[in-house]
Amino acid sequence: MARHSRWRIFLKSDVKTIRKIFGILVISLRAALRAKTVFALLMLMAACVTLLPAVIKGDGTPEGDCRILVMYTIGFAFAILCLATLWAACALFAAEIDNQNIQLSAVKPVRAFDFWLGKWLALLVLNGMLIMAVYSAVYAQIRWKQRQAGWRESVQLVSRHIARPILPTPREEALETYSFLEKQKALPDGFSKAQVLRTLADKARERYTIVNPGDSVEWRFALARPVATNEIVTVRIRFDTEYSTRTQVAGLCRLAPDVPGAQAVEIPLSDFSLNEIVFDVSCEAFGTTKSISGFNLVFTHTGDPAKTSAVMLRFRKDVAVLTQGGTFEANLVRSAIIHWSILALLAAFGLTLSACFSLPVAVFISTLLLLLVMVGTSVTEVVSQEDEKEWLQRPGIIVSRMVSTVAQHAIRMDPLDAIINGERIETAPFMDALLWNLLVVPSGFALCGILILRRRELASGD
Amino acid sequence: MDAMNEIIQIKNLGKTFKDFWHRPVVVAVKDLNLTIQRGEVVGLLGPNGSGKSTTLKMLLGLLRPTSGAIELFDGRGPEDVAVKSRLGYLPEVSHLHEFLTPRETLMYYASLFGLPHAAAKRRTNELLEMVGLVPAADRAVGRFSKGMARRVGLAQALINAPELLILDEPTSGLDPIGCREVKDLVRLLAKSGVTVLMTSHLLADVEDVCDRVAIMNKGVLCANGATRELLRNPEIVRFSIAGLSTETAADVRMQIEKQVDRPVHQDFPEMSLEAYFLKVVAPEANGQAFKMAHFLEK
Amino acid sequence: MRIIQQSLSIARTTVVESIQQPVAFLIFAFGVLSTLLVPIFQFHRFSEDGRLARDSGFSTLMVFGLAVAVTTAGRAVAVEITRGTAAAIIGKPVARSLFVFSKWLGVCGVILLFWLGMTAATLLAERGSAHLVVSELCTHAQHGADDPCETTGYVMDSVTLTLGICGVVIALLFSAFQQYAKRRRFGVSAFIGIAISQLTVVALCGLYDRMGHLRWVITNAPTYVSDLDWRILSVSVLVLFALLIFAALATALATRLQTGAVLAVCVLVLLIGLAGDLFAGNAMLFSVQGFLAGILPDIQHFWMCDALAQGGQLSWHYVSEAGLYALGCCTLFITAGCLSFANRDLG
Repeated sequence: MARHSRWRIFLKSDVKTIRKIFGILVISLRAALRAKTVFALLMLMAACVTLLPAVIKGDGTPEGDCRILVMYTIGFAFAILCLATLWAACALFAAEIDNQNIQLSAVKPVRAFDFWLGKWLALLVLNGMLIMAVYSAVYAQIRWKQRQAGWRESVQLVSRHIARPILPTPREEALETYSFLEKQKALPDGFSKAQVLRTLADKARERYTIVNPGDSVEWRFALARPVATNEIVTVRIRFDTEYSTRTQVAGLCRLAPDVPGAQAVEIPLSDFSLNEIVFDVSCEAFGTTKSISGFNLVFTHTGDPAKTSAVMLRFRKDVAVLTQGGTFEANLVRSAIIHWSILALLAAFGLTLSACFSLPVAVFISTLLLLLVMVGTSVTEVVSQEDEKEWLQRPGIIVSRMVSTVAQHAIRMDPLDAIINGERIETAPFMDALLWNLLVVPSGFALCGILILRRRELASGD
Repeated sequence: MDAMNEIIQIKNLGKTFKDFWHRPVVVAVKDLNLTIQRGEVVGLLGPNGSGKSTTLKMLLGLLRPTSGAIELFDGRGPEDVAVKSRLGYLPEVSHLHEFLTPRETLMYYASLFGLPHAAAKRRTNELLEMVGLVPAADRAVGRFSKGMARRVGLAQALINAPELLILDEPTSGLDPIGCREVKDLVRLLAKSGVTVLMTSHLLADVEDVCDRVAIMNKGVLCANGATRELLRNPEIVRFSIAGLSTETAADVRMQIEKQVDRPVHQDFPEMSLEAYFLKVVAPEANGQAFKMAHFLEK
Repeated sequence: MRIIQQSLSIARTTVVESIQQPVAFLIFAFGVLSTLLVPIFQFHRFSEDGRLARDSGFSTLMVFGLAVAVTTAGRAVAVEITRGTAAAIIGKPVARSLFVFSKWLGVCGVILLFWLGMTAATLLAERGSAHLVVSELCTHAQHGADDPCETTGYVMDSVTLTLGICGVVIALLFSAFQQYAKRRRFGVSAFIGIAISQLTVVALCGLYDRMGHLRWVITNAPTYVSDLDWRILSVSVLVLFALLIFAALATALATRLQTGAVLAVCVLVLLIGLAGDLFAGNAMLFSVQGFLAGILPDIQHFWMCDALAQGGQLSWHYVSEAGLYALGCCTLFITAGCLSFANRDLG
């Protein structure tokens, strides 16, 4: 009986807490919606979504226009939302503390956690609505344009699983190369093991395979989901060749499923004028009734050695087997959710800063740190070994690497790139991004924000 | 003093405001000891900068004491959430959310107490009626006059039917009728067992309402006791007799002068300016007090 | 005389009130430091020496200057109207138009201080970036034929950059000391201190060469050669004119709008101004585009960084014409602000 009444008290207090959090959420939403700034933001979003596709000129092709619609329109709108979310979050506590509105709320039986959570959820709701509006508007425009001649045929709204060659990871390859160099006593002087491994991993990631005329190269692929015999498999190969000899290049692709007794399909390739070859193969052509979970792909350079040059491929990035993976609409929703999760992370960050500083200082610091994250990520991609040697540049490189490591989970995935390339946003990285952006990082920020709020004096003296 | 009935215990409380380098700048409160019993109406008085508001803010957990301790209700600290559910606070300046209407404001603060929606709505309507803001219930608070905002502030202080009510300058910005209503409200709340701690610069209001006063000056408690006892001048005796004729009054005076061999001062008592104003302007003031009593019964 | 006194009084109060805010010196310090650090974190070597440093300095000056102008105008006008301080001033014998004009003067004062510090930092950053240097020892025969004479190559003037960064640090430390010892406002001291520190380093850098050698040691005579690219000054003055225009616009808008909305409008005006040709290149005079092109300032007139490329120079004649244009824009915006404020309820 005592346990039963304890549970009732626990549930009752839980319901009260939910009411408190909901009350804070509602008032934060009201504050946002009744502020002129939100109205201005809505106008800006509307202008971005409707005017930007008209203003930015593409390459004249439907694919180019679709790319502008997805990448630039959504990208630009998302960038504005990032800044707006950050600054709105900075205002939520800071403005209330500066205006002393918080005093009447702070003397009520509400914990700092309830305040933080209520305001964060309010931003999530607002951002969810705005993201949904932006994506819906862009989707509506795509569908409307598809009625036009030329769009329907050339713009394929697909979502496909992408399978890359089964290979050691760049890290594993780097370790192997490092061991080899160590045995040969050929390690470079003046660099630590971590620096050498980092460089080797970067090189492995970007390594080209050179296929000379007459040579072949073979890859194995494991599919995320087995394909049935009535489905279509797409092979995509991107490559670099010398421009002057590009038209002379010829090749042969042999695609064989890893099912015993199945036939291989050979496709001759003759048009290397563009840097990408994409072809579809129906699974019925393999002559098997079983579902296929893997493929062997052999590419042979059949060009005349006297007239043509080698073909260069970055096999980790440039070779892929694509299979049906859901609908374009579902993929678009996944992309919207990832963007929404990034906004949630920024909201958590801004809220914590607003608990520490006044509004202008919080806005300044948050914008600065956001720029640092963006720059830091770019810097780590372009920094070279020579740059690392200079002592003046080391502090910048160290800071950039730290920032990039912290932010990598949050912004590792570029969902718009996947949408444009028709690649499905896979479940594992999707869930990883959500876990990191909606739970792990915001929890850390919440903890910091709550500790600071509890320590902070919310009133001035006489 | 019954320790069980002590609702506020302040022991050796001190507050020093420091600068960025942690050097003391202002000693706002120094070594304050004060106890308030359940059901009392206590007035905390003092000149500007005496530490009254600082003391209140420390009681509410908005400021952290530099030294000493505060115990509320059953020996809990001011930052305990359970304590906050039992008290109400009206600040000197009602920093309300300007974009909310009075109804939305009260519903919001009701939600912070975890009240169910129906109960919150009922309570909001009662309080709006009590403070006389029903016609303006759906207008943004940002457009209110100071007095109207004060009424909203008073209503939110009562939203949870508190056991302890802390009022910082409750009559500030109110017209004489409003002042009388607030004082009547405080008396009625005290009668129903609510403990009230209030500060005010209007000493007449404090004199009318408070059972006990504590006077602070430069952060130190200078006087503390029952109002009537502190104000009594035991050296002068006054008789008040209604309906005495001028001749009889002269006779009585002569007799006393003969007895005491000292001049005797004779005058007519005056009503307060507030009472005269209310007599002229608002003869129905008694009806308003009845409305509040009815609300409190509910 | 009384009007001048009133105006200066309001302007001075505006300057002090604005620069004492923590965000003011934070923006200033960050702007100066980021400009000075650009030559250090240059990961790509451009063929034209110092261009990245110059362009970064000008961009930082423009963007951060805009932020300073808007936040200052917002606090000086919009917040004062909300809090009632403006009503207290207008209650004195101060005309409303004088109030708006004086506030603009105050905002200009803040921008001027900011501009001084940022221009000095840009000069220092340009000098500090990698330049082709022939060894100074070789150019002076009195050091004898025994000294090896070789081309040094691309050298970064780390002494100047270090002095510039240390200048900011010293300014902040000195302000902290002032605050501790004399209880002076930290923000005010820091803001002014940063500007003075950069100007001091500009003055000092004439005493040594890019290799860090003191000139009087090399030449055995008092020599002063600043080795700074003074062409930067003319372009920087143009950016100052642009910022003064934005100060006028922000002040006018702040009589009716809050700071956030003012910032949004100013950013829009900046973007439209920079893309003026795209927006209204062939617009008819009596069209919406033509009208907007007429009243909105063409910021392209004030953005002349490319003029310094390949050794080019900007004429002062052009700068003076741009100044007149800026004066016209400021007059237009301040007049609009005065008209807007004339009937504004302050109660």
